[in-house]
Amino acid sequence: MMKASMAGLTGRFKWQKYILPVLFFILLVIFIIYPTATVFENSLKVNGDFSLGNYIDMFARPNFFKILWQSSLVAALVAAVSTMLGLIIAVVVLKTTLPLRRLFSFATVVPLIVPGFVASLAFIYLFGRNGLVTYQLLGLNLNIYNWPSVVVVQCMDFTAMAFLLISAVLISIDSQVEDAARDLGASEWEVFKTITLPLLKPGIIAAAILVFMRSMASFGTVIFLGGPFSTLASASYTQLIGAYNIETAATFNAVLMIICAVAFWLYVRAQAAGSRIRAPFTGAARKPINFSRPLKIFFMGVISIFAIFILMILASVFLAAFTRYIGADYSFTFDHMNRALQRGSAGMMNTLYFASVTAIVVSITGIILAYIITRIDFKGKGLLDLLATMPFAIPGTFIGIGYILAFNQPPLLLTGTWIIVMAVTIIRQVPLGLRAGTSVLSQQDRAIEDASSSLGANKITTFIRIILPMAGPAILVTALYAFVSTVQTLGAIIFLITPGTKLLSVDVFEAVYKGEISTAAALSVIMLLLSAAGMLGIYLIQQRGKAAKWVQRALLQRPM
Amino acid sequence: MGTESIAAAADVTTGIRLRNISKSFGKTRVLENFSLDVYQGELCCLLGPSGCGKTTALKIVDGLLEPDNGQVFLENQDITRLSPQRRKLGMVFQNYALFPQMDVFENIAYGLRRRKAPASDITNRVSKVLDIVRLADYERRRVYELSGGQQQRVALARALVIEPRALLLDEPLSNLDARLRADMRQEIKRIQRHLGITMVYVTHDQEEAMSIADRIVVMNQGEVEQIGLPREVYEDPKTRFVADFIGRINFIPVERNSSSFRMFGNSYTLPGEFSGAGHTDVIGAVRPERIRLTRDDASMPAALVRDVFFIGAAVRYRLEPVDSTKNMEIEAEAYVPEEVFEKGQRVGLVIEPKDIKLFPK
Repeated sequence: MMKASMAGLTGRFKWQKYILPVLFFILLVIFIIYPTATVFENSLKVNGDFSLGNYIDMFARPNFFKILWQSSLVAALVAAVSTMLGLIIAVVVLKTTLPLRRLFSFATVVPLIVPGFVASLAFIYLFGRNGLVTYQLLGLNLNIYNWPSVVVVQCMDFTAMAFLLISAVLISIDSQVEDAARDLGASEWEVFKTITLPLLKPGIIAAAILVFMRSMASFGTVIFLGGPFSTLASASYTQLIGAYNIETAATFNAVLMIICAVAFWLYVRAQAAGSRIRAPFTGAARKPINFSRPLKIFFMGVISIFAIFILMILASVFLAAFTRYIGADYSFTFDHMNRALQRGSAGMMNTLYFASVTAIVVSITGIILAYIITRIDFKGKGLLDLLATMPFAIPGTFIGIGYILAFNQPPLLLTGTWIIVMAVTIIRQVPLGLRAGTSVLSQQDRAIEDASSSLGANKITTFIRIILPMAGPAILVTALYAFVSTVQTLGAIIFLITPGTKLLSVDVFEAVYKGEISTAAALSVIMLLLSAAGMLGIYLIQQRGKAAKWVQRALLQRPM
Repeated sequence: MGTESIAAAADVTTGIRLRNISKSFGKTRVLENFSLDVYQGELCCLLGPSGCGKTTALKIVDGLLEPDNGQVFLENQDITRLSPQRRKLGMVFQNYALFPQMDVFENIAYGLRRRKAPASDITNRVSKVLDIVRLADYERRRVYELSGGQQQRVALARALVIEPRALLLDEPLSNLDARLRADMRQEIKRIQRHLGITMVYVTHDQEEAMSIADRIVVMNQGEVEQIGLPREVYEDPKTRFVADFIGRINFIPVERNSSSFRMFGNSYTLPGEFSGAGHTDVIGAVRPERIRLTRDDASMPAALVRDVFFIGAAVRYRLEPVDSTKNMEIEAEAYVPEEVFEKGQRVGLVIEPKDIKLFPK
C-alpha cells in the first residue's frame, strides 16, 4: 500500500515537474529569443533577401569605425572613472570615520532616481550656453555639446552602480583578515593595499564591466549632449527615427549586442572568480582603516566635488520646474507644473499603471522562477537560467527594435498595443526578479522546506506557506526596484510607444527634444517623485531590517 | 605544587602583565579591573563561558582593542598605547583569518615581507616553519583548498614565522571536529614546548584547557574567578562558579551550626573559614566520582538508583537520596566499579569529608 502510493507519487511527479519550466521556456523564447533572432535576421537581409549587404554597407561607411571606436572609448572612460569614484566613495563611507559620510552615500545614490536624459537636461541648465554656472556665474560661453559632457554626465549617473557593487563586496570582507595583517606588522596603507584592495578586485572588475555595458547602451545622454558625437546606440536611434532605415538600425544594434554579450560573459566570469576568494565571514564588526592625512584630504576633496555636482544637478531640475524661465527669470511659478500635470497626466497614469503591474508580475515571477531553478531538478535548468538572465545583457534600443520587428504581423501582431509595452517592461525586469529570488532562496535553510514536506505538505503548499512568507520583504523590495526602474525606462520603449500608450519618460524625452525645457523639468520632477517614493519604500523596509542587505547585490542587476 | 611556588621558582619572569584593565562596549562592562600575569614560556589558558571577557582580554593584549583603563606590559615594557603592528605578537584567530587571495606560501611570508626581509631569508624561514607545523610541500596550495586542520596549521605557521614575543590564540580549535581537535591540541602543545614560546590561549572548552594549559585562568563576567594549575582548579575550586563550570559536580543542601554541618544525615566538622556568624548559609559540593556506592546498610545514608548509564570508562548513576525532603537527584560515577547496581536498587552512599567542598550559598 505504502509502496504503491510512493511509486504513484513519484510517477505523477515526473511529468508534473515539467509544466512550469516548459511554460517559462515558451514565454522566454517568444519574448526574448524570437525578437533577438529577428534583429539579427533583419541585419542579414536586404529588401527581404539574405545578404551581408547591411554589414558591408556599415563597414564601408566612413564613420562606422569612428562610431564604434568612440562608443567603446567613451564607455571605457566612463567605466574607469565611475569605478574609481565608486571605489573611493565606498571606501570613505564604509572604511573611514570621515565626517559627512551619510550625506556622501546619499548623494551618490541620488542618480538612481535621475535617469541619464534628465541629468543631461540639468547639465544644460547648469553649464550650457545660458548656463547658471558657466554663463551667469562665470560669464563663459561654452559649447558643451561634445563627448566630454557625455562622459561627465554618464559618470555621475553610473557611479551609483559602481558604488553599490563595490560596497556590497566591501561589507562582506571580514575585518578579522585585516586585523591579522595588522598583527603581522602591516601599516594601515599596507593593510588596504595588500588585503582590502585585492579582496575588492572582483567587485571592482564587475563594476567596471557593468558600467561599460550600461554606458555602451545608453543613448539619451548622447542624443542630448553629444552634439556631433554619436555612439552605436544613438546612431541606431537616428537611423530608425530620423531615416526610417530599420535594417541599418538593426545592424548597428546587432554589433552593440555582440559587444554587450562579450562584456556580460566577462562579467559572469569575474563574478565566479570572485566567489572563490571570499573569506569566511565571521560577523566581526567592520573596522575603519586609518589612512594618512594627505590621502584623507584627497578623498574628501574628490567626494565633496562629486556630491556637490550631483546635488546641483538635482536642484537645477527643481529650479527649472518652479521658476519662470531658467537662465533668465527666476521668479517662482507653478505654471510649468500645471502644464506638466495637464499634458503629462495620461503619461503619468500610464507610467504608474505599467510600473505597478510590472513590479507585481516581476517580483512574483522572479521567486517562482528562482524556485524552479534552485529547487526542481530537471534537464535544461542552466538554459532556463541563462534565458531569464539574458535581458540583463540586452541593450534597451536592441530589444525595442526587436519587438517592433518581431511583433508586427499575425499571429503575434502586438505593435501599437499596450501589451507590447508591458511585455517589454516586464521582460527587462525578469533578471532582477530572478536574481533577487535566487538570493532569497539560497539564504533560506532548506531543512525548513524539508521539514514542511515531511510533515505532509506538498510542494505547492510548502511554496505558499513557507517560502513566500519568508521571502515576503525581499519580494516587496524587488517589486519597488522594478517599479523605480520601469518608471525610468526609455530606450526599450521609445520605439514602441503610440499616442495611446504614452509614458512619462517619453513625455520628458519629447519635451526636451522640442526644446520645451521648463515643461521637461516639470515632467521630470513628477518622474523623480515617483521614483523617490519607490526608493523611500525600499529604504524604510531595509531600515526595519526586514529585507537583508544582501538583496541589494542581486538588485543591482537592473536592465540598461 | 601551587601557583605561588611556580612564581617563586628561580628564573620565572613575567611575559605579559595586565594591570587593572577595564573595558566597556557601550553600556556593557566586559572587563572590570582585570589583572593577570602570564609567565615567560608558559601556556596560559583563559577559560570561561561565552561573554566572560576572555576574547576581549586577548584582543587588548594584541592591541586590536584599546582598554578604557589600565595598562598592558610585555616583558616589562608598557605597550598599552602601542599599535598592534608594533607589538610583535602573533595571533591565531578563531576563523584563522587566512588571506583568501594568497596561497599558503604568501600567507606565511606576509609578515616577513612587511618587515622587508630578503627573499632568500623568506624562502628559508617559510619552509622551516612549514616543517614545524608539518605542512611541508603545501607552499603553493590555495588556502581554500585546505582542510580545516590544515588551515589551522597555516594560521599557526603565519603567526610563528615572525618570531613573535608571544603567541595569542583565540579559540583556535573551535571550528574543528572532535577528533582533529584532540590531535591539534597535542600539536600546539608540542610546538609550544619546542619553541619555548609564551602562549595565551582562549577557550570555553574546559577539557581543552585542562589538557593543554600550564595554568588556567577561570573567568566569569569580566573577572578572574581562580588562577591555578589544571589540577588545582578541578580539585580545589575556590568559588561555586569554578566548581560548577569545570567538570561535573553535585550541589547538595546542608544544615550547619557553628562548628559542624550535616549532609544526608551524617555530621561533619565545619572548616575553619566558615565557622563564626559571618556566613549564614552554605552549600555542599561533591564530584560524582567522589561518591562511592556500597550495598545498602543501616549505618550510612541511602539512595535509590533512578538510572544507570554506561559511559565507557565509567558507570554513571542518577540517584535519589532517601531522606531528602525535596525531589533531589544527585549523580555518582564509578570508575572500575567492584559491583554495578541496577535501576531501582537501594544503595549506600560513602562520602569522605575531604571530598566535600563548601561554598557560601
